[in-house]
Amino acid sequence: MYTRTNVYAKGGNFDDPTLLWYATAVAAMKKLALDEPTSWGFYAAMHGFNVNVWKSVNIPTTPVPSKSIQGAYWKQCQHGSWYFLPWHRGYLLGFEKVVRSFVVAAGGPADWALPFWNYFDPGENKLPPAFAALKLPDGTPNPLYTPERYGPNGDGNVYVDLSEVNEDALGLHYFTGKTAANPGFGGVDTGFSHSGRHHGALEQQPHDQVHGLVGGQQGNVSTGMVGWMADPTTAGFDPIFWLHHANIDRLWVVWNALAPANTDPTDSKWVKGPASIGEREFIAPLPGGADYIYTPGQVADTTALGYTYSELTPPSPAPSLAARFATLGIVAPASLAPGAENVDKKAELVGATQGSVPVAGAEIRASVALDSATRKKVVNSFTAVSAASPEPDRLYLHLENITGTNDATRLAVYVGPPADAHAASGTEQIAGHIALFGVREASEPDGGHAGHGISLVLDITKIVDQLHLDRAFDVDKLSVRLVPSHPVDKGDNISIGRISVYREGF
Amino acid sequence: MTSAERDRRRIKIPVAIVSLAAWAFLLVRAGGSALSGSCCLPSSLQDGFTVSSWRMLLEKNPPTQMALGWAIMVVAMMAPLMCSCIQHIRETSLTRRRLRAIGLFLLGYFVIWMAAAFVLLPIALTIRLFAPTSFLPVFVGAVLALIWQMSPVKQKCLNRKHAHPSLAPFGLRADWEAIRFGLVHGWWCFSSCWALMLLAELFPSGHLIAMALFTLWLLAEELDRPSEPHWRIRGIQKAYRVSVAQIQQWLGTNSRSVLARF
Repeated sequence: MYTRTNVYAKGGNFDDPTLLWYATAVAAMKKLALDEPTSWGFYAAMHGFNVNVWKSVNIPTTPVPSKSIQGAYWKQCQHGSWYFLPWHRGYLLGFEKVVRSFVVAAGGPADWALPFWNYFDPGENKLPPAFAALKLPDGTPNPLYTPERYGPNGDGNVYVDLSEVNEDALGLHYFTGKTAANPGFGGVDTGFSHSGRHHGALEQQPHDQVHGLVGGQQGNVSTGMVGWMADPTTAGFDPIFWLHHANIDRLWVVWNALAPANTDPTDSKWVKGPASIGEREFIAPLPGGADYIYTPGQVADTTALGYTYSELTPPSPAPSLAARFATLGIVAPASLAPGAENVDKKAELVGATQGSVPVAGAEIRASVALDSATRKKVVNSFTAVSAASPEPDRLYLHLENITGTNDATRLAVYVGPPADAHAASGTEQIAGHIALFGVREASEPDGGHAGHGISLVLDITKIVDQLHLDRAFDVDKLSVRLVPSHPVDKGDNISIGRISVYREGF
Repeated sequence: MTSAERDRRRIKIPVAIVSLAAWAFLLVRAGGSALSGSCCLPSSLQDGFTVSSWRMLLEKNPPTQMALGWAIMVVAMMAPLMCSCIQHIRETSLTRRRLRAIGLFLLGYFVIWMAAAFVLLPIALTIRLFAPTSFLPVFVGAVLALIWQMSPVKQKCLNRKHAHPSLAPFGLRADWEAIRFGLVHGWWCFSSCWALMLLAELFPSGHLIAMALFTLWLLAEELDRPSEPHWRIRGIQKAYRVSVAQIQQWLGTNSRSVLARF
């Protein structure tokens, strides 16, 4: 059994042999040509490949493998789908085996395992020192260092701003979501079309946000280079990418262990993977010319795969449903068990902006008009529960069809009563942070997403609860304010197709 | 079954019923035989291309009848392709406006296809008048249709057809955007399907069988992901892979096989 350990277990520097051996293997992989299946570039291209983007950031684009090899291995990354977690698990597993083979070949330990970067641990949100050092202890260039990491402020100071990330996804009790309302812990069942645009909860937070924070943009100006981590087509080139994804994989294990109800999908379309819906199978090259072909069902159990994590402590539990009943001042029903599936709940539009919202400048304001009849349903669910409606509604803010050309864009999203009602009752609250990881590719009309961009979802239940208690939800519209991490240039063409509010209830 | 799949079935089942009803109507209209005549073009044009033959043709087959035949054909063939659009409208509209928005979308969509009849039917009619029983037009049409089906432009049309825009929730703007979605989607649907639709009209016999095969082809294209436009056969591979995967699932065998790499 291999154990993946915390990168900071021994300080996150080259005193840790795990990191020194990782550097040795990365250097060896980087020496291989792009068309070698175990090369650094080949594995990065499995996550994403765009010849123009690679050229623009000085990544070698030759020698390319044949079209059939590219078709089988490259651009496999599953985003905006319930295959996001299992695909990345197998991808990581294949990568780890390749790295281990190079470690062993260089005389390293046979039990080498990929470390993870848990930026949520106190004092460990800064880029581990081994990845920031220019040189190895022997004075040679450090292969774990890349200058194309700009960090939250675009100045090369790389850290995960903890005010922008959270582990709230772990509080969800269902893996599979719906495009309307909540996309679930692991993502949406996208069906045969398989071109989902809604990111699952864990994919959105912390996955997307950490990509945006670490990659960043040079100088925080739109003319600056976008950090490799901030764009899916270049992210796999950064050695820290793999430690970030090990942490995402670890959080999936934590989620599974957190509650008996946190089970993976049993639907055969998920268990058997995209090959069961006519898509190509998941595949990763292994040392020695073999391939690792896998399905989600085959990677669901990490123990069966032969590895575990040194740290599986769950974060503080999310406030219970009983606490919400108490906050709203309504009598809770006798039994309050979190459901494993949200199958019995309806998802329904409550309101939306009348048109798209261009994102430019230092602050963007929008008004979400609410449908009075649907809003009353929400209010009614807050005032009493019944057998037919045993829980108060949950509310979600959808930022739909976000398009643009700058993946490094990050936005803070605030929700509150209409601006003119601030003084009267209620104040705006932060709904969360979003990062537009993958937006450029998803906006290409001839790309895999047909140009409809990405859609991100924020849980605004707490905010609406508070507005209701402040008697500020009895309004025709809600105000939404977007604050970019740095002013957005018009030339980035960022636009939100619609901002909407959905209820999930009975 | 996931809740998302349950939602999809709420659309798929009624759409399948409507489509099957249209197919049944076409079968009955063709005299109970799938091998005789066309669903929207007159089948007996033995007099050749003369003014009198045109006059007789229009007397025997009023344009309204042809339009009805065309509309039924569009419903039969295109309804299965509209599930994802209807699902999108249902999810992104207020509950009280869902039916209205779907209706307006369908209106826009069918306006395009009925307008397309004014272009495609006269072409097909003229060819049929010249060669009423010959399969030569079918052969030529098939070659041209195949070229179109493989072309990068066709892929561009398919990609545009996959785009689902955000819709305004309220008022006249919501109505207009639902209609506009139907018009735009209908246009890209026509742009990508016109060659097979025209080819189906050229068959002097076996028209319904051709229609059924073309419907499956178009459906497979619909299931395929949007992709970069270049020359290739599309839809067939997807149909094959979906069929194999489904058969293997029913048989209980592992879907991972060499077929998946086809």
